[in-house]
Amino acid sequence: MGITSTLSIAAQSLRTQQLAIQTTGHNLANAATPGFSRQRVDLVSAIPSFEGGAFLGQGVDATGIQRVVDRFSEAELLTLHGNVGFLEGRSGALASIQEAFPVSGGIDAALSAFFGALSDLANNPAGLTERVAVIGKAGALGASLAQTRQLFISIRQNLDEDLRSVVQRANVLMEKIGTLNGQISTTETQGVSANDFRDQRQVLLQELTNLTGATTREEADGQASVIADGLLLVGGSRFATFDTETLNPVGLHAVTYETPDGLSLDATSLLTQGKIGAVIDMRDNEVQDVVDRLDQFAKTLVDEVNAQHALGFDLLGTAGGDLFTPIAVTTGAAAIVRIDTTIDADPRLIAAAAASTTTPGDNRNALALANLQSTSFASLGGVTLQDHFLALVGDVGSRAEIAGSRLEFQQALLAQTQARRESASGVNIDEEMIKLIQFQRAFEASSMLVRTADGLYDALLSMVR
Amino acid sequence: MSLNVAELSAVLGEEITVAEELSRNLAAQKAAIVAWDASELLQRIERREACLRALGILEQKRNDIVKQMGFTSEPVTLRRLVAELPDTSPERARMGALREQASHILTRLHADERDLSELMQTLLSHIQGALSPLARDRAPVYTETGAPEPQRAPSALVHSKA
Repeated sequence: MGITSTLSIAAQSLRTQQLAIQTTGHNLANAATPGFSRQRVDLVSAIPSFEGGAFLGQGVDATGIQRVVDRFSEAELLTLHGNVGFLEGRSGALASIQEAFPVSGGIDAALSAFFGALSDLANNPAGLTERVAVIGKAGALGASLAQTRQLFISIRQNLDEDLRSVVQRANVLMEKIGTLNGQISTTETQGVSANDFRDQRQVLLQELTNLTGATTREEADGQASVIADGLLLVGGSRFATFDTETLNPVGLHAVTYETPDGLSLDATSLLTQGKIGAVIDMRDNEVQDVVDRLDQFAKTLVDEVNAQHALGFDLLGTAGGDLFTPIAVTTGAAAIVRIDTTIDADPRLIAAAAASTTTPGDNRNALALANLQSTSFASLGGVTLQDHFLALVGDVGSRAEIAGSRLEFQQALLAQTQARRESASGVNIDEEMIKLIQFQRAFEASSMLVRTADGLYDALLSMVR
Repeated sequence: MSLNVAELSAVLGEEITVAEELSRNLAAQKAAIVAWDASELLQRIERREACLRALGILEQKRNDIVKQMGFTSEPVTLRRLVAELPDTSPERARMGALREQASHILTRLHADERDLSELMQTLLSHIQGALSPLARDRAPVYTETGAPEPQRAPSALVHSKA
């Protein structure tokens, strides 16, 4: 092997090792970058040359820089992010609904207090204090119902705002993924690995999956196609957009999907996965269901109390009117439960007696009103007012608990999968540093010997010349 | 004189053996760098140090022998020694061959050593560049009271020199 070959091998090896060190430096610099995959230089022996009847080694060559990734973990992470996104949205909203039903006080306590006041009136039907108490407790029950309903309306409004912000975020992500798709394709067409672009895209895909529950497929040219609920979100460098400018009939934002080609459709009911799907479902179905059940409760309360009250007679011997202001429709009933204004002004008009001719000691209608607490109503599905309300609270609680426990499980799976991905793709700073510092020490130790060696060689060479 | 020449030949022979060992050592160091095997490289450097120590001892011995031979003016070269030996003496032929061999191997060794040293210095500067992100000053961190937290001293490990 001639001196030219030796120098050529040295130069090639030098370039290769420079690449290896730069890659290690890149790994170290990005150790804390979310989603960064460790990179590795693929080294192979250079093709040997045939000289003088023998194959001579030509040193080492770098064939490329690869991302160290576990593709299975990466794919699993995307699925888990979708599940976690959906359950986070659901669990968060259910927790808010649950908080609207306080453990003590609230509608349940107000309902008990109202019927308690009616029982007290039955014990002293002529008592003005008891009559004032009934009016006060009825007013408190109405206020509690209105306040709770308003809380749910606020929760729905907040979910509507959440929807707008997550949709805007999804738009940003779809555009960025489309751009990265183009960059990856362009880079890899030139035969260069687009490692960092791929890492960036993977992080964005995880976030988009969290929001939409989308599935991703990598095409032959390295570009990722992203589809959620049958809607193409990203295809190559083209991307769809969501718009929330349109309001639906109840004043909430509809999600309009616009294809990369510019066609648009209302996708509100199509989006069922990820955080967006959960927020839409909670806003349009779950919260609405709780509000509807609360309205049904309030309407039944007002109708049944009024019906019974109308059967009695007040202290003046007049037939009872409505105790509560009548409510015509169920929708919105919980917001307008109010004591009748005439009774509010004159407590003697509460019809505690069953007949107009009896003495003021007649408490039969007051007893019948108090007994409504334990009466089952067909409009509530054959249960009492209290049981209906407790079932509503229990239902929300159990749904929140189930969602919370599912979320916990999915988060544990996600953490486990992330750890698996990290073990494959994460940067081990200690390992990378130890490797570099070992070489640093070796090179520095070697340079200290150079002066000694130089002195010796010079002395020897001056003698043998 | 002939006794001293024989001793000098023996020392020179040993020096050539050590130089050959150093040549093989340099080749092994290059191979360790190419294979990116730091522990192998460190072992080879340790062995090289032992060889250089041995070479230093032989050099001292050679100087002593040359002094005993009574040469007063410097430099004492093998060419001069050989010139002073009788044309037909076997020592002259042996010394001449040793001089040729030593000259060849030491020239090559010296050049290889310099090449490797330059390669190591270049790689060392790359390593320091690669480690620099870890030694970079961090952004100030504030305590709960709002006062900046004292900056920690940069990593001694990163900045340390072997």
